[in-house]
Amino acid sequence: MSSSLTRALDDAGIEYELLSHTHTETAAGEAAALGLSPSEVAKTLVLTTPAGNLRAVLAASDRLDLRKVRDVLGSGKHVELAREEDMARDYPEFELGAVPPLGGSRRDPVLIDRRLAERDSLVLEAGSHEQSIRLQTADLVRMTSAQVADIGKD
Amino acid sequence: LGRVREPTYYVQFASPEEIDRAEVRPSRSWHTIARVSDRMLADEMARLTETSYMRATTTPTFVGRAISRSALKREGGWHHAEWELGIGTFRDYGEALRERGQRNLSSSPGAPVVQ
Repeated sequence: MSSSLTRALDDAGIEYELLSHTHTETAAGEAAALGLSPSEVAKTLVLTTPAGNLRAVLAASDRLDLRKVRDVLGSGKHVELAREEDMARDYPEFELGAVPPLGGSRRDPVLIDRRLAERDSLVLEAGSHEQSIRLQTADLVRMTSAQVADIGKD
Repeated sequence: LGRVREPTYYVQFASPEEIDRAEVRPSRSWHTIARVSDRMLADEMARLTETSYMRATTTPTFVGRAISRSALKREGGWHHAEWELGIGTFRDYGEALRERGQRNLSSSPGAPVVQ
């Protein structure tokens, strides 16, 4: 488990639940191991924008629509998925590809997909393939000052 | 008349790092998620393995492929693929991609959905 993430939650006084499960490498496997729907499992995609990095959060069972993100940000075509080398440089606290929506030394703006934000709670795999975190969606939105928008493919 | 056997395709994914590391047994670097008889569906599922769909850790650098049983046997990876399917590590992932692949193909026939 990423201590950076749990420390950020502890510091903010956010209640969360640690969920241990068998080793999984996909959201479908994680959801099955926890007896959850894949739509409850969130993923975080790091995007590069003209204003810097941005973390986009959506259900693992959804796909990001970059055109919608560009519309929300008004950034033209200059919004892209971050490259591996960018993430390795910018998020040394986290395993490559496992950057959570919050935590770490950066304070990136956060975009949360509307469909995910409608859920009462969500589950994050945050730096470990054997443990997940469940927290209230409203807490995540509040703590990250996230913008909620429709950013998933229809 | 002999019985006509349906072609079988194995849907697999791997990370480039695993492929680079597997110098001795390259076929072992591929993870098998499903066995499919429909070539278009197999190709669509292989494409989905390269997206962040159904992944919680989302560095989108996986490569996917659909490979026929005969080609897999030639490559020496058939027994490993069958073993992996039997173990079921990626069973849920494979089923989720099968459902999504079927939806994609039925919603836009002849036009693969681009991530």
